[in-house]
Amino acid sequence: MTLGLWSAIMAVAVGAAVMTGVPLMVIVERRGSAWMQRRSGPNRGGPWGLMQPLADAVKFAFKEENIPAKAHPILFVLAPALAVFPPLIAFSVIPVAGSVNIGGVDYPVQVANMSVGLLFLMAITSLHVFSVLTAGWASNNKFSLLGALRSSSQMISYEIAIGICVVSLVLTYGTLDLREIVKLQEAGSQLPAWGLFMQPLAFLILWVCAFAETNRLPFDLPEGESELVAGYHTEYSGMKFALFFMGEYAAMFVASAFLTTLFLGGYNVPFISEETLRNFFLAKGLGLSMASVATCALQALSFSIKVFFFMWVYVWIRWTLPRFRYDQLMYLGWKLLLPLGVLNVFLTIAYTYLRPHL
Amino acid sequence: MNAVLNEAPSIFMWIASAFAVFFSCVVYWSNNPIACAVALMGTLFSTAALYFAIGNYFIGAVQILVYAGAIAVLFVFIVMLLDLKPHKLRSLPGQGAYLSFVTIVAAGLAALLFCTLAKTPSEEAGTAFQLSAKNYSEYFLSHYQVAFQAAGLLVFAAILGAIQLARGHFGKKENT
Repeated sequence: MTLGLWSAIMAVAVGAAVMTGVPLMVIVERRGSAWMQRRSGPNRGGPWGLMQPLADAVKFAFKEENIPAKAHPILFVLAPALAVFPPLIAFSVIPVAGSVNIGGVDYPVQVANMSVGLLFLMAITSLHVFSVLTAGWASNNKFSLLGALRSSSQMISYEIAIGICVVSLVLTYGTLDLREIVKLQEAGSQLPAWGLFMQPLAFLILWVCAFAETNRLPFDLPEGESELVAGYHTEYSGMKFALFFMGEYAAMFVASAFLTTLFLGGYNVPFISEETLRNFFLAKGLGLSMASVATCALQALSFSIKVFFFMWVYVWIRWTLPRFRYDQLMYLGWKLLLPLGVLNVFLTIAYTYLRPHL
Repeated sequence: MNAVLNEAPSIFMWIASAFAVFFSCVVYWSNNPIACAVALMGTLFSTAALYFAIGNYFIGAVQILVYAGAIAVLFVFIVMLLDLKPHKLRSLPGQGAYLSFVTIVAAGLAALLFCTLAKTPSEEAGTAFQLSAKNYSEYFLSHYQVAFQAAGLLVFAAILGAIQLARGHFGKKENT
């Protein structure tokens, strides 16, 4: 099997996993919010309401699609597509598990094993703002445009803090390769050598920024329904609105996977190295290929659990905290997170420089 | 990566190039400033795809991060705030002269690029593309140190100029 064919298979598999995760997350969000507010939530569609996302999808597909008369016809249709495409592309560089051994060759469980994966991830996620801007402008609606402008200034502000944090991470790990970063965090004897313990401040800042970048509460000012009707997607209906919805959840998945990969050891199973796992399965009498597949399955499970933890915190925060005021949002981004990030960079530089002398 | 350059262009390179040319034409011919900005992003993105196709991931990622990501967002932002309407663009005085001048300059640059490419031996091009992120930073912080810092100063001066322009005329006191 060539690497190209393997990448194509992985692209289909990872894409399908993310697109399956989105409706699952919708039901988790709806049932989770109901649980927090002491109501039942959607519980009629299928067992425990699990078929509800399917019903929602069918509803969206059959709804009337309305394009406003004065909207820009091409950009109005392009914007929802731009919302879904960057998160899906971004997922291609995230290592989901170790490597599978097929016929003596190791294939990494990742769509594209890129040497500058971290940089690529940042570049692609910064494209998300285009869908919001295009949607807001193409709708030819005051509320949409205001939502889009709010959103772009918010995203640009918080991207700076993200960039600063990534600098300190690169100083710590010394590489931009995400797979390499995951391997560096592999099982320590007592505490795992996770980024969380090496860069706690950067973790905190990036976590806050992840909420701001995905426009989730308490940072959902771009859609603030009490002020802007629904923000940049006011004029969208039917499947086009559903695409924005899917894009938001896919972006949340990417942000969670990003945090997992950089700070929670990625696909690593805590306290157990890939080598140990593989040897354990080999000792159980599995062949080399089957042992590597079993190892990867465990690692993928570990990765999913970590990602789900972050996804659950998204839901948790959304139904716990109220929305920020706009000046509070700007204060947090520019006067708190950015100086803290710069301070963290200086601390990291000092530590990296002094470490050989300590 | 050397092998990639010596091979015939792959189908991906043709597709990326076609998109780059198409979006450039839209930037050139469209009367709508926002459509131009979005098409400009498409051009930069296609160029980045071209870099990915020849295996230079670093330049590709930086291309998206710097140009398509940051600059184009600011561009769209500014165009929106200035509220440029399509008819304003259409009725610029002396636009025909500008357009023909720009066309001549663009054709000249393209000819220059083709001549340079034709003269560069493929082996040399191969080594140039093998640089990693680490090599680039080493070059920037040693050999090209002065030029790198000078470019930074230029960008800084441009930012100050932009702020001054946005705040109004020189020397005019404002309340903010």
